[in-house]
Amino acid sequence: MQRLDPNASISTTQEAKQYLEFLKDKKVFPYMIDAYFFAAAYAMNRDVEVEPVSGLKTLAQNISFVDSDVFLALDAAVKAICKRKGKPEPKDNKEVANIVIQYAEAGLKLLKARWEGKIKSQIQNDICKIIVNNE
Amino acid sequence: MGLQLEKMTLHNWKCYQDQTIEFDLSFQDETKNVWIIFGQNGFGKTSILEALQWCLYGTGAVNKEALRKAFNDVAVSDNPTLEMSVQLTFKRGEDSFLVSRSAQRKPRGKLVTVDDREATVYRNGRECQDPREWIEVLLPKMSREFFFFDGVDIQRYAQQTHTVETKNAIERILGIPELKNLRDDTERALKDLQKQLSDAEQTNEELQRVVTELETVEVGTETQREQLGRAKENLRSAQTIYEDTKQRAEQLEGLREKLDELRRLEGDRDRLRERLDRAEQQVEETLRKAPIPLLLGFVKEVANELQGQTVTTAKLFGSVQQLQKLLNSDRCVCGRCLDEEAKRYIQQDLEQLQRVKENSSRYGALEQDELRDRLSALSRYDQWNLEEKLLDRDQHRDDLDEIEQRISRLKRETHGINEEEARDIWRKVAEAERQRDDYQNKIGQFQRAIDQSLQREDELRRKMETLAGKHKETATLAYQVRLARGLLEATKELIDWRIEDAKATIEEKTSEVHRRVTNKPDEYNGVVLKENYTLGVRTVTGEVLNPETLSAGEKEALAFAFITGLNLASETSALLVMDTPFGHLDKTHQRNLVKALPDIDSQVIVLATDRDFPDPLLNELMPNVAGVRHIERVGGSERLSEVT
Repeated sequence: MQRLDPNASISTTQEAKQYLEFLKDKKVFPYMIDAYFFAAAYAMNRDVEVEPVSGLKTLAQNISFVDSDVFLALDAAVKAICKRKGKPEPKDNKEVANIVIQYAEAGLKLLKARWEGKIKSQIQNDICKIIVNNE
Repeated sequence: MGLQLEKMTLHNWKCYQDQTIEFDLSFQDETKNVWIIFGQNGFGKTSILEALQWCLYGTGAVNKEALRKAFNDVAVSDNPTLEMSVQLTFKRGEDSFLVSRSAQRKPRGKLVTVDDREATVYRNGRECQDPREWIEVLLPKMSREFFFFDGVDIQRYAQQTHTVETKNAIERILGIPELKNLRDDTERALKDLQKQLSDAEQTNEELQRVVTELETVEVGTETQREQLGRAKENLRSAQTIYEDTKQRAEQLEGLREKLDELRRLEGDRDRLRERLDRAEQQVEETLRKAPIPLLLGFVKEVANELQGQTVTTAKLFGSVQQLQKLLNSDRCVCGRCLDEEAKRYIQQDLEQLQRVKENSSRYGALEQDELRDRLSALSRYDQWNLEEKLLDRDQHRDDLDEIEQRISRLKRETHGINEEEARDIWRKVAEAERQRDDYQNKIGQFQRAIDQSLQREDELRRKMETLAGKHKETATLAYQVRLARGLLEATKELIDWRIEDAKATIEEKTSEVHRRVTNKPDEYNGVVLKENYTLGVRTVTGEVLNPETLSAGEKEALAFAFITGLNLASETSALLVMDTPFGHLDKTHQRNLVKALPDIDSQVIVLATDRDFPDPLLNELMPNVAGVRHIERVGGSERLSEVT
């Protein structure tokens, strides 16, 4: 199973980065990368259709401070999704990262629409509903 | 209500040719005491005030030169020997008084003089023999500045020192001069009698010695009386400071508990902040792991897959061993011999399995095992509970908000209070009490010294009488001296009592008015009338402020309070006539002063411009306004006006 490289950089589109900054400034998530991976997991969980993204800019040079279990869960999800969709497994960590980025971008768009006009505490309560009630 | 102006008639006075201004007193509504005469600058407001003063006090109020110019210009051009006059009708209770004064212009070549006639006074239609005395009874000349005053000039009553004239005027209102005259007359008579007595007994050396000693003792007694007066004044201030400090101390005592509670709450708040920080951290940590529960389905799927691969690999290793064993043997597991074809077939299978086995080894079996174990463990992840941590954090935040609100409220309630003051205040109370007791002791000492001096005086007088009694004439004189002495003592006591009593009343009335007109009723706690009748403003902390340190508006508020307080304190309150008193003030003082007018227990006539009474303020005052008049130009001429 190919793994994400914690020492590699992660990139996002400009639009996604703006929304991540908003979530960080509002203190919904402590770091932008946490919101980014949550968005990826949200999209994976909902089996969202993804497509390649372009115009990426570096979001974080090093993401080794992210919890190792989060990495492992994302790696496993990428592997399982490829298998479910009958696609070949990623050959290296860059391909894993590309897939995660596609899901994160798609997830962020959905979350941005879902959280429109909500304040920090409302968004955090909604995260509970997303996870506990699968809403 | 005391003396009131009912009618005013002006004939050829300045810009008024034939003008009657009536103040209808028939309805007798005590709540309507204010009359307003509106007029623009230069239209003749001050001329009305001057006419009042001239009619009452003649050239003592309007000098000859000003009087020469007071004849109406238009009428003078037709008649150079013009007569002018002013008549005032007053009411006091059932009595009616008519005061009238006239003057005639007398041109002599280029020189013009004025024949200014004595005023006449009629009481209930009958002419009074001594008009000046009657005017003095109605509105004493010396006190006129307290009845008729210019709005801009009013601030001078709030000066640190008064002119002798102002001081005398204040005493005049209080009826002090009559008592002082009596005292001075008695003193003169006493000295005269003592001199006669001394002359009569010039030959008597002992009597002379007694008289000398008596005079020395009397001087000493007088000095002690002055010291006693000063000590009483100091005691009054010390008593006030003591009471104010004690009141403040009691206030602080009540607030001390709140200060303790504030300190306790601040400690609780710091601890709650720490807890809130920890709760925030836990929320953040939980949020950082939020992707995991969303991906658990995938994790379980991969963990199971890896578990299956492990089993397959184990099976594969077993198969290779079995095939190797079979090749090394000639017989199959069923007991039959293996031919070459079968061996070749087994060899091919074995080679294929060897390749698969080599590949598995290359991936790293240990790593694979570790990954499988980690995924297996992660698939059982159930520690994520954001909801509980959010509730915990929100609870801490609510608790913190509540405690901060309580702290804020307590801080407002204890604003301006500090620990140092709270600790120090009772020391200040004790100090103020000691100061007061010191003055009380001093007063006792002075009083005892005076008693001893008086006793000595009495002894000396008796001795003097005995010595003088040897001669009939001297005995009579000695008796008269004793009577005069008694009268003098009684007069002095009466003056002291009267001044003390009047000052206390003025202070009380002035303080009442001042509280209504000052902009700082929370900071100022009354007005102090000093020995020389100058004023001080007492603060809530007991300090007495010099009025010259006050703002212009506050000075005027203080002066207004003093004048009205003085008027209220005098036994016969009189009308107040104010010339443009409010227009130059800031809005708040203007409003305070105007709103205080109805509370004055006198007729108030305000000569005003529109700036003195802006519309909203005038509307507010209207229920207390008895009448409004307007001064207008006649035919657009600057030399003729009329009051409508």
